[in-house]
Amino acid sequence: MADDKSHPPDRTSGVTRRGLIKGIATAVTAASAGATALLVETRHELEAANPSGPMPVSIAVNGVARTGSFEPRTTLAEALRDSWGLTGTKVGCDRGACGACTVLLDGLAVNSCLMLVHDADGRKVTTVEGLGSPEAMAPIQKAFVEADALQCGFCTPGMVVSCAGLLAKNPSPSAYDVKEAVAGNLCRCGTYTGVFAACEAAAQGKPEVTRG
Amino acid sequence: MADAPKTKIEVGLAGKTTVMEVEIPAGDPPPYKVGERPVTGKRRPRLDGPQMVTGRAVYTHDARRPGMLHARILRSPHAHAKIVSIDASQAERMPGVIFENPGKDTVRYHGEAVLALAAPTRAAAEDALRAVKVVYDVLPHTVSLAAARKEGAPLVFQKPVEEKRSAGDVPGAAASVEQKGNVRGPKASGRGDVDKGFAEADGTLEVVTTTTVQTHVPLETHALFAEWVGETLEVQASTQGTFSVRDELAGVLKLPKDKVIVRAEFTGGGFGAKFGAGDYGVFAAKLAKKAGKPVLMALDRKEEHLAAGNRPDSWNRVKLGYKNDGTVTAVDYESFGSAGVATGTGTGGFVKSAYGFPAVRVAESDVFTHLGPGCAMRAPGHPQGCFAVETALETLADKLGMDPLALRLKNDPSEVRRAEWEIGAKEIGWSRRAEISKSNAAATAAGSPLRRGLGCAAAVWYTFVAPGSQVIVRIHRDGSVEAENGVQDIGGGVRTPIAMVVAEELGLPVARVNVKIGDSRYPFGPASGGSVTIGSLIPAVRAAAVHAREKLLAVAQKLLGVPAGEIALANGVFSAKGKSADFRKVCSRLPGETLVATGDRAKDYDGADTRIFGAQFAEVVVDVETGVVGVKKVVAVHDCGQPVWKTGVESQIRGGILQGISYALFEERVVDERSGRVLNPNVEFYKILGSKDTPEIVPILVDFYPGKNNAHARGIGEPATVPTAAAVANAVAHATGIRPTALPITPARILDALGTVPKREVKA
Amino acid sequence: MKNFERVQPRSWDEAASALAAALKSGKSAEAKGAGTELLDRLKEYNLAPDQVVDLRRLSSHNSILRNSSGGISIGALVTLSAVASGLRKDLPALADACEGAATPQIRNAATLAGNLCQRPRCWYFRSSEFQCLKKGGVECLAKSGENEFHAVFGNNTCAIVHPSAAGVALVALNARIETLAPGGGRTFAAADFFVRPEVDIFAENALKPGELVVDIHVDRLEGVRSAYRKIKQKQAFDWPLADAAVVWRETGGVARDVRIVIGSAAPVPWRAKAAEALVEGKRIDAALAAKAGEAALEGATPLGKNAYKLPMVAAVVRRTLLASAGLPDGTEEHR
Repeated sequence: MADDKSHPPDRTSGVTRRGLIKGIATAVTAASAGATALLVETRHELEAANPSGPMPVSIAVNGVARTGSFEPRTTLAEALRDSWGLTGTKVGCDRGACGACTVLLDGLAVNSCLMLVHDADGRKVTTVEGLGSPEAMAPIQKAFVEADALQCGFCTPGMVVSCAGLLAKNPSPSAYDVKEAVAGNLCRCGTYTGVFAACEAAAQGKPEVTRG
Repeated sequence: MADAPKTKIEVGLAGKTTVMEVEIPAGDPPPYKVGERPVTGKRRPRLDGPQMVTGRAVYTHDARRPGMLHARILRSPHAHAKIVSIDASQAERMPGVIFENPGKDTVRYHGEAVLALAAPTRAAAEDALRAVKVVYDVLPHTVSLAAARKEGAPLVFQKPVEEKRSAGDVPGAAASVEQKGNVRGPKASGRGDVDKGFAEADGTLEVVTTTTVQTHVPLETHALFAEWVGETLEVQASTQGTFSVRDELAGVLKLPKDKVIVRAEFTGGGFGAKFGAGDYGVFAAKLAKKAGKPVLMALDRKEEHLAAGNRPDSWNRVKLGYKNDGTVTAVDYESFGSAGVATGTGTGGFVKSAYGFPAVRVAESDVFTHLGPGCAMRAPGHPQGCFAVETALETLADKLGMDPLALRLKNDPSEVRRAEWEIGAKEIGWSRRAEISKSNAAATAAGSPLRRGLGCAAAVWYTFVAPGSQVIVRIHRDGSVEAENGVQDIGGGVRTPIAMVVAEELGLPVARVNVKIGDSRYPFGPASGGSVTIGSLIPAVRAAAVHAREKLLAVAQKLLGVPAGEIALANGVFSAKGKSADFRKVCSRLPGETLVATGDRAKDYDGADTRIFGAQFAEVVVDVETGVVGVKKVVAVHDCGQPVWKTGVESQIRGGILQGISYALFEERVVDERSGRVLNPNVEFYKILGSKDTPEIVPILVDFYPGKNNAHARGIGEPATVPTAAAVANAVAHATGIRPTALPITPARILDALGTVPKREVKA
Repeated sequence: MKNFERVQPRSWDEAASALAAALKSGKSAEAKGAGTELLDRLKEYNLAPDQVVDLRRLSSHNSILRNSSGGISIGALVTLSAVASGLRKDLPALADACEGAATPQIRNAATLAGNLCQRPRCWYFRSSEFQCLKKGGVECLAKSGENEFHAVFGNNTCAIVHPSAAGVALVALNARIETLAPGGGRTFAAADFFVRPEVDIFAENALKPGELVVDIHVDRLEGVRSAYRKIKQKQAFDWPLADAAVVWRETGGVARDVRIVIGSAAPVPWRAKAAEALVEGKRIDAALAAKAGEAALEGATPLGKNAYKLPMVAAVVRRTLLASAGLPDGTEEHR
């Protein structure tokens, strides 16, 4: 990975580095915890002295150090999906109103479409891929499958991450807590009752799931 | 010619079946006998669930290739305008930007595509879009159903418009109809002698209902990824129709069908809006050709709202002739609706098919407006028509002082639906209705804000079949099993029922069947619209699996030395007369490397009603101080023939109900009349039901054998959403004493009807 | 969104200087907390600043402090979630306002200061396709257009409703808002922080360009009772149609220093002074609460499509008053 060390950001002035920058963003490791799409390189050839040129970022995504240089306007969702191959995080409305882009930032559920990637610099991000894999699903993921808490599946990663965030801080949530935890996740297929059942079952460690 | 051989089959509700003689097409297995299915009909987890809950399922939005370009569309900010000039010179100087300009001279709605471009990143494509300067000459517009109907309203089209149809529409001839001003119609239909019916009536009543535009809002917006490999266009599409996308691209780009490959492994919802390639898909294919690079076109949420389809609004007038015992003698039904610049707004299907009204006259008209095109949406026309008719029936019940359910039973000859009314009434506790009315009266007296109500409504849909569906089952020498069909999964989870049917016939665990779908190179499969997927596909799956089993039995016959007819196949073992061989062993003796068995969807034969029935009951709480409605519980009793994958059927029912509640209470496209622009093309102010608006849902399936195909298979996606809004509205009427005649039932409408909204400024 | 230069200051002073420098050099610059609201406007091209000055990563003004006299200071960068969970006992009205705002994901990121400084959600204002009065146009398009979610009070010039629920609670709590600017900071009474369109059509608060909110202070009040309630069409993520915060001190069984503030109803958090006067010095009961709800409507000027909000305002004031007094409002069964 070529983070251009010869041109560090000028932190003193609080503004970006100057000079010709060839920013390259790519995953630093092939051990991508289950990237679903091809890992790709995104190159930004930029003019000299572009003050809004790429700036470096380093984030622990699913326990793997991810680095890259991004234009300041880049959102965390774009970095995850376009540069790091983590397309499990979806973009449904791109305005923080649907929750399909939900990831955990230091354990808290946030909208990755409304967060600039540089705001996550140095922090820990968990995406749906980081919770489990098809072969080794997290309990909440297993419970989603058991409860058929999914239809088209496009809102599902966000729902799963919201529930995982809830269970991490509240291992025995009430029915109200579960509804509140996914109040920012929109599902158009109508899987909510399955989501409630899955979250409650995962909380109780129940193998069987019944839907209300 | 001698009569073809007849087979006796059992049809009807379990416990009340009758025997019918039918002509089963050659090569098609006979239908399941009552109680015959060891695997299908049961609940189980969806097979591809693990991919979907871990973010590994790859949707069209997720397509990424080295060098891929991102495409965006420049859209009109005006409702109606001439395009005077386009200056793209600045954008053309941006690195790697390419254009596709169809050279339109007029735009007819806010959000209509003007041109498309592609750039190395989505952000760069945005920058390029902003750099294109378009000069418009703004023309007068008309954007409301009422205004567009008036004489002298700005015309949307100067010439008559032919109806475009998609796989999601209700099949039927698109009759050529009159067009005057912006009104295209009326299209007349019906049955019976309406004049006689009214003449025989003891009385008549008329209601007018209205509904607003509903937008599909699939969580994955419309998207198409295009890549040219030599002369072949390879596409990944977020679609409800692998083959309809292929056919549209082949047609528009003048390519033979074998030069277009469409894949659609996972689609993030559709609900009727994703049948074709769309202008966005054609743009993607053309841009990819020009650039010599793969192109991903993914619409944003605003584009999806403005330009990618919607359920048209409606104005419906229902006039009933009735007897004093509650029997309806005739119905005169009229509808107007606007699908913006498109057609297909009729809502008269429900009144013609839901009940046993002896005489029905329907007149449906489309009204053009300068707004984005409507298209099929889950049960086109039916939630609107159901709300109109069920409102009229309840109004009649009020007038006659009858129990609304009793009035429906007077007019409902369907044995299946009568069973559904009974089951549902018991489950929701319909007998509490009088008691609830009493406690509501007490609450009113006490000045307490909450009222409760129960309501019900009927569902009807049809057993459409997409002809030509074909399934291939392949069994390899190592015992692995594949089932292939090009069908897409839009959320119904079609892989799972396919695997269940194959597994049942081959005596294997369901997970042993590798289902391969979502590729136009596989055998033809239905577009997922009109609830046709299961009914079209499953009989072909079963036929293929039965043929595969027959071929395996022939191999087993050689191996075991027992006639095939005496060999049983269960739990992965072929056995007869004390001899046995496991599945893999038999497969290892296949004459060729792979056994290939094909199943075709045979034509429907005789059976029970072609209609699919349902009855839903809703319980609501209305806060009469604020007008806020909460749905507490919905009981949904449906006929789905013999369900294959019960979990999936129940999920479809839950989804249909939640969309119905959302339609009843929240969803409303808001248009600024002066500018003709849509004000809420987002999911912030276009309000969609969420977690805390979700009630308890009780889905119940009646055990029904409709015949017609070898699996008694029928769909459920559409019928489940038809009656919900009407049932909720009727429950609101029970709770408040006000009869909603407009959807959505907003707090504003409730408070207005209750008379608590002051008409003037509040002075100090 | 248009690209911008990201400015990453190391201190609040540096941030304020950076904003001042940008203004001086003729560049447009925006301060950013979590950015949840700013990104929305950038993506809509409502705004295309040359620079975005980040505050989120600064290491001060990001916690809740209690001083020796029982007062509470909330740093500008404290998230809505942290306010909701950290101040439930101390300031239930503020905690409820923050807990019910937006979505869990947004509350986990969005800051209290950002919430107070957010721009209105008016659809004419938010869409770059309209040029409304607030954006330099000739008229408020909502007043004669689609105004179902707009103001019913103080809407003569511009009919936005202020979107901050926390602001409603803070005005009721008579909080103070402390700012920082190169020339020196100021402290506003919360009610003075929010300004009506007649005062400044282009802004909803009194901050000067480049001035930053750093802390929100709430004094300790003996015997204080408070509550916040709201009415929404949809119970999962929806903007309130009406909300209210009520604060008073219980003295000898009666309510003193009553402050009743209505939200989602005016361009600023709206003091219902007639209702306050009615309740002042009385014991709160069901009948008084209902009368106060009616009194809260005094001076209302509903527009073509939003008169329905008036019974909602009356209801939410009634209910919030009852909640503040620990009395039932008849909707308990539904919650």
